[in-house]
Amino acid sequence: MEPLETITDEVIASRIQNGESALFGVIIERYEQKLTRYGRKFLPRDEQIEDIVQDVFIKTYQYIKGFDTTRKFSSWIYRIAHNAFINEIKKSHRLPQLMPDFDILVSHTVYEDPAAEKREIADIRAQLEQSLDKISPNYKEILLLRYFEDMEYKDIAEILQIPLGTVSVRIQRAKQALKDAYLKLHP
Amino acid sequence: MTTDPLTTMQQRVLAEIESHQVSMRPKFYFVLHTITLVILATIILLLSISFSTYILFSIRASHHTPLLFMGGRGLLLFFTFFPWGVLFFDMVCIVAFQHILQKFRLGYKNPLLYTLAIVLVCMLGLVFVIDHVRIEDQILRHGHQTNMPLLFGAYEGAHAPTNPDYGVCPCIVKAITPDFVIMVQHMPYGRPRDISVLLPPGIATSTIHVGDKLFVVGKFRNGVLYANDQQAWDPESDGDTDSTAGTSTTP
Repeated sequence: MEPLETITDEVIASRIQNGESALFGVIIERYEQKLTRYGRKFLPRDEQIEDIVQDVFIKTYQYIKGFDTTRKFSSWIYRIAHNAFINEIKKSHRLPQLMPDFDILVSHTVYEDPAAEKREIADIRAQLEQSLDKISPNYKEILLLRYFEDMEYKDIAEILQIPLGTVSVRIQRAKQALKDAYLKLHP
Repeated sequence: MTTDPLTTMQQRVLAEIESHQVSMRPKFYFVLHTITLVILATIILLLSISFSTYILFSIRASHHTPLLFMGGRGLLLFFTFFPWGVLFFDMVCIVAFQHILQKFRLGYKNPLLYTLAIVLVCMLGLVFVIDHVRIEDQILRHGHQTNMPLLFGAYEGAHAPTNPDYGVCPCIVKAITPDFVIMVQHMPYGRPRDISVLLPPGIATSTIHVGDKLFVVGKFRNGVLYANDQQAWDPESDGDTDSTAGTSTTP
């Protein structure tokens, strides 16, 4: 029998769909810390984040038969978490007035350079820690997914449900906005 | 949410699953959800197509197309009579359809303007095909034959001739006097109404003959339509003007 550690999320999800509910514990083990870290960037209180992450797991279990196992499980669960955190922020009226997102209207060239991004990852993480609250939520989330959660562009596109080209252009703009915010704090 | 500090999140969630407080939604639920969305999207799309075909029908049936070629006043009148309310509901349907489409991968994977353009092109294609086969006219004819009120009178309203008080008259020449041209207003389903029309200066009455079909635009005062502009028109082609008729003038 294959050890659980080597089995992919998608296979585990498929086995849960087929009735092995106990395997859901593995999913919780794999994602509890990641989703809590993700939530911490949206909400300030740990208890609130824990409640929402627990809700995310419950929802994930309830909806798992709707998951297409040929797709990536992590994108799917992050999408559920994204919705849960956004809903919570909306409920508490902490969501700033968002500007209309014109980037989703037309196509953009996808420019993904993992080597260059690897070189700048430490800088961006450091800047993010200090200037996170100074940039718009759209930019904040996409940078978190890219530089803290190490997601690929196509996974981010699935989570945020936006075109791939929009992910690319939004990351470029977010990095510029972050740089500007950081320079304002450290002239 | 109740939290027990003595247990981990994993234990709490698994306990809820084991005690059947939380259960998986059956596959059927997701299939039904998708089917419902598809049906809803189809209904909205059909509604939108109906609204669009109604707009085309209404322009055609009211014989207002010649107004587009009659200068600023003609354009102003055309837009005054345009069914803006129907267009508004049509827009609402398109936005709702686009919103539903965004729930599917196909919808959000592509830029919004591209999917919108594809939707609009397909929809307008269908609208022109439907308009070409004159379904709306058949509905109207059926309504008149059976005395059925069609869609709260919307179809009759579209086909009702414009009141000459607004200065617009798709008419047929009935008689020519030294002072006026007596015209009968084109009313396919109503009682024809006689209107006295004073032609613009420079138009010789000798160029006009009894039986000519003229689309006249002007000002209606004291029972007389003082024409500013006129065009030959053909009611049979539902509003298409005949540019070779040679009676078009712009003072």
